[in-house]
Amino acid sequence: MIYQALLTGGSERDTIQLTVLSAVALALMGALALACFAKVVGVIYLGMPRDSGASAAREPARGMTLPPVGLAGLCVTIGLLPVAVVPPALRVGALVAGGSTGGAQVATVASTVFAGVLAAGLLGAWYLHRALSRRRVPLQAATWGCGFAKPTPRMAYTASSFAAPLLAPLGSFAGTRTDRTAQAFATHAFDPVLDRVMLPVWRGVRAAATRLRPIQRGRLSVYLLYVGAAVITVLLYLLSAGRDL
Amino acid sequence: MTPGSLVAPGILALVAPALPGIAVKTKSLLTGRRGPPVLQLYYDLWKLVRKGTVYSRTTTWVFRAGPLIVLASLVVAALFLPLDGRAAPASFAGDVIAFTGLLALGRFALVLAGMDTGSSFEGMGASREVTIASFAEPTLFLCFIALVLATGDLSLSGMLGAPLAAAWPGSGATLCLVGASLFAVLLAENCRVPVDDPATHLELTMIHEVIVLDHSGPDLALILYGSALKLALFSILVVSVLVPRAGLSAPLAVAVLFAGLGVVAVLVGVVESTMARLRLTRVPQLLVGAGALALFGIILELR
Repeated sequence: MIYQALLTGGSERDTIQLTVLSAVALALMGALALACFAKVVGVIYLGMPRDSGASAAREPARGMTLPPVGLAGLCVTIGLLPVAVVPPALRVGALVAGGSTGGAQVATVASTVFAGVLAAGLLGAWYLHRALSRRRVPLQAATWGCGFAKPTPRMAYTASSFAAPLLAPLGSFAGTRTDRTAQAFATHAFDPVLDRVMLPVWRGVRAAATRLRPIQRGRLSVYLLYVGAAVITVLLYLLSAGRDL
Repeated sequence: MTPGSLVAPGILALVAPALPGIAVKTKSLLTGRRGPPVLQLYYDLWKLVRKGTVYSRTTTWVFRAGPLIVLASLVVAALFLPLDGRAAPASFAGDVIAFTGLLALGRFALVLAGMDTGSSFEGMGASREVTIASFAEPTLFLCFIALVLATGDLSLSGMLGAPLAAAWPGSGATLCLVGASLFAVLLAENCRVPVDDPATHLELTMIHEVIVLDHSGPDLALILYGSALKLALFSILVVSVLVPRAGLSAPLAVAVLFAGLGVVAVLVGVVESTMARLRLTRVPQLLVGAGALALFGIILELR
């Protein structure tokens, strides 16, 4: 619906630059989010277990798994069946803001139809696959390793390798540090904004504050001295400016 | 959605596997070889569906669901394209977003299936696939925005249907630029030269082929068929933008479309036989360049 608002805005000419810019930004964000989620899910949950902790992992009890599954189910429901969520939300919004609903009805109905078509497509593909592979029992084998007889978890793709081609065009803004020696190669990710901007600025502020701290010790005599020094400084300034006192 | 409106998608489903064959045949003829038959992919698919499946012990249901989601997302995406130049079987305002979302869903399923095997090669292919998609998607969106501006319609049925034909006299230049840009996106999204070489036999140089290394039998058949369908979908976008068919009768419009698909496949073959692959680091530049073409189109529309 964000996109829809953008595109509808796009047909009005006065805000077009903003529309084009934000639509492209949203497209880029969508694709990067896809890359990010594919990386996280793929590297953390899929493939072979990478260390002893991961290989000893067991599924937790039902009480642990049900809440996230329920939340994810709600997300999918809102995405595919907005007709169940958006009109009530609009009514509440209209009640709070005192406006009127309208406009978004057509899209919600259309996307419900869309959800049905998508589900039908998935079912169709499943049936087709079942019909095609009915004749034979699937075999189990090791992952094909291009000549490596025994694949190990160390051969699996890592998160930094996965992200490398995406980060390469960003150069030094990408936030990866490479340690390379004759025998070893390692990359480390850091947060460019936090580590390069925010933390140095904070350290500078703290150093300045530490330097200023001895001025203020809480002694009345020292404060009276400051006041006297300030008055004398102002008097000297007025004298040097040639004013009549 | 009426039964009659599903005839053209049905034909599309039947002829889609011929497109890669036409591209390969063109390439073979231009480079002085005989090449495999145009219908080679049909033979391959027939062979694969009769074979058994081998699953890696590392894989889970994610791997098995991958080919199904890939195929289903592409089939549903095909329903949004107006094949007869008028109206698609399914359409609503903003269905371009659903179209690109479906392509992204299929890609996500394919990438996760690749990562599920734990193979370094498939991880590498997955990484390249999402990288290229990250640059192709903004370009695709720029093309769609240019089309929205030219036609004033928010659905693919409108953008590629009657409003497009009405927009041609006024915005022909824009639409040509969009067509060229879409062709570059086609090459990238379908992993053709100059972005990827479908004929390569070296795992380290593959992109799309390397993700599906561990798929076999009917699974691989579904994925190969899905790739052919994806090539057909992008070709339909290119042909529909460049050849408005709303004025023709419906059967003639469909016939013109399929002739156009053949021409696009031949063009892909010509590109493959005249160009080398780009270095992977140059691929984003190609796609950003294609995006710039679409941006010029948008600027032309704003004058």
